[in-house]
Amino acid sequence: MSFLELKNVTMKFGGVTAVDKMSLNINKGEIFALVGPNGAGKSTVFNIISRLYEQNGGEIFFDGRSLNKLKAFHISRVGIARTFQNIELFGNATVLQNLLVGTNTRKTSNMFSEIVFTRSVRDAEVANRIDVEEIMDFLNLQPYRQKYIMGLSYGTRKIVELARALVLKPKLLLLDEPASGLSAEETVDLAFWIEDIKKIMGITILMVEHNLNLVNKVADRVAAIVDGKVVRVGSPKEVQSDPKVIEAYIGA
Amino acid sequence: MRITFKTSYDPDINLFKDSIHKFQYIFLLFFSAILPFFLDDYYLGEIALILIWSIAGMGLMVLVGHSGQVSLGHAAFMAVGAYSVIILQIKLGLPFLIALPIAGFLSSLLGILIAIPTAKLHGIYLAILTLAVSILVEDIIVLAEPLTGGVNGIFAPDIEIFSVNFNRYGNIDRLYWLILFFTTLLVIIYKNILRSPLGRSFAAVRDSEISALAIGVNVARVRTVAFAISCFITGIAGAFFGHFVTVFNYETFNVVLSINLLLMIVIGGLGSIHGAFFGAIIVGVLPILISLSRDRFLDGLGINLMNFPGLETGLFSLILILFILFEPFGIYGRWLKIRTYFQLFPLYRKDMFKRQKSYLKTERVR
Ligand SMILES: Nc1ncnc2c1ncn2[C@@H]1O[C@H](COP(=O)(O)OP(=O)(O)O)[C@@H](O)[C@H]1O
Ligand SMILES: [Mg+2]
Repeated sequence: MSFLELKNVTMKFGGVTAVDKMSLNINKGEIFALVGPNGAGKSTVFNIISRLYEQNGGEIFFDGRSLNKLKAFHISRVGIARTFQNIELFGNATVLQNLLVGTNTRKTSNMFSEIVFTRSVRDAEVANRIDVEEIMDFLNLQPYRQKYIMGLSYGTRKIVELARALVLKPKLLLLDEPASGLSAEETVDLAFWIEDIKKIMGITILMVEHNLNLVNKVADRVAAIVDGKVVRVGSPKEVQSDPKVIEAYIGA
Repeated sequence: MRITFKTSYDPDINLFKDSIHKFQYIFLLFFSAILPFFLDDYYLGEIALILIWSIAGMGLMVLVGHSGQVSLGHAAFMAVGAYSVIILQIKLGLPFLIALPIAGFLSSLLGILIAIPTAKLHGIYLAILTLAVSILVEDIIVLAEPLTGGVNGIFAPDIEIFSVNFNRYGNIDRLYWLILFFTTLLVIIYKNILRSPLGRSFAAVRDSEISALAIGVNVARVRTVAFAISCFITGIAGAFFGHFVTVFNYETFNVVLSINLLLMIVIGGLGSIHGAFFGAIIVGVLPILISLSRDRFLDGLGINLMNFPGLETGLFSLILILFILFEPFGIYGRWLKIRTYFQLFPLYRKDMFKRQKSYLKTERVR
């Protein structure tokens, strides 16, 4: 069984079928990219995996278990973290605070010990900071440590969102258009980071990306999605030279 | 400009970021504690009242400023606190120190009862619902006459703690110290919440529910917890308010009070404990200023402000409008800017705070 498996997943919004009986298999340790025109249903797939949407049909399995019964806030606990296409950070908080929220899933303290701020809460806070600091070093976020999100550039915010996802220590990382809005240099950095996340941290990555340079550089396999259906799965080269895929892009 | 070099994570986590900061607040507390030796009973009473408003403001701030949920009915939670503490003291003969937390918990319970079914309501819908609940609470108070005294109201007994007596008219200085003690305690609790995982989950729920979910925050639960804590603190404020005014009825906790509480924290500055205090100071000082100017100045000109019954509320609203237009971060926001100006002088840039936007944003377009 593959690491992440979508089986005949369907999602309808009123009359629109955003995802149409889609099946996909993602293997452990690979970088898998979804490409396809706008409105193809790529983000909807992410939202279904994150349980933000409840699909109309089909089932999703992750690491051998069905995700169907889980709630959205359980997903990070089974080992799936994500970023959003239109950055969803906590805007009125600092970078540090944003990343620290990611450590909440590991907390063992209860409300009352937090109100008293017991020794163990304090020790846990120090440990959380060590975790977060490691990720900040990895993504060069140290200069922004105490900066508020709303004062940061778009590119930096994207990286902060990636960092926040990594703080969860996921097994699977979903990246929704990680390079959109990044400058050329930022995109180069991103490519290295994505490869390191796979190689050093051992995290499987499923990403939606329009930047084909980035896809060609990092992706092991690619699926082309058109109108909620998988048109072709294969290596980046194979998919880009498939006539059906080319037609869909020109037609769109 | 003061630069703190950090060699461990402790300054990040501590209540005070450095010793100067710590000294400032300890001085403030000391200064507040010796006020009864300088002020006469009238002004001391007014300051005790400001502390009560600060507690109520902190209660509402947890909800609105930190978890991003609006309540237009927080007077109801003050009412539950005020009536509970007094009924528990009179009818059950409980000592004040036991009745007080129970009153807080009862208020908290009402908050939870509201929060659970409304977990999906946001912004204006939640505001309207809390408003409706507060009107309902007023009715229940009238109906529950045997307990609450109905329309006639209820008298607060004196507070006795280890046979020390506290009474507004007999010994306002003791009552003031008691309130100051609990205010300090609640500030510390509030600070602890903000620096622990709970406080971060509040900010997460406030700023983006969907990413809070994706990051493992149980949004519905956090929203309920925010209600519970908010209503607990507000209930405590109500309990002290009841003992402060000594006699009150259902009308004391009407919708106007709820609105004033909300205006208070918006003017003070949403999202900070300071904001609750600044707002309370405005609420407390404004009537004094109005009456002073009436006595000293306007009467001499032959203008009689008694003819304008809604003057305080009107002025208050005017200040609010000015703040929303020119300083959405409230008095605390303005204070931060002034402080930064002096700390960085002469390097301050005019646009330094330009990117910041206000956030009475409780509803997101998904
Ligand atoms: N919450 C929603 N309500 C209604 N329609 C939606 C919603 N989310 C997505 N859609 C529709 O589903 C389709 C796929 O959208 P999306 O998954 O965002 O595409 P992509 O990410 O591939 O650009 C679009 O037609 C979009 O309008
Ligand atoms: Mg998309």
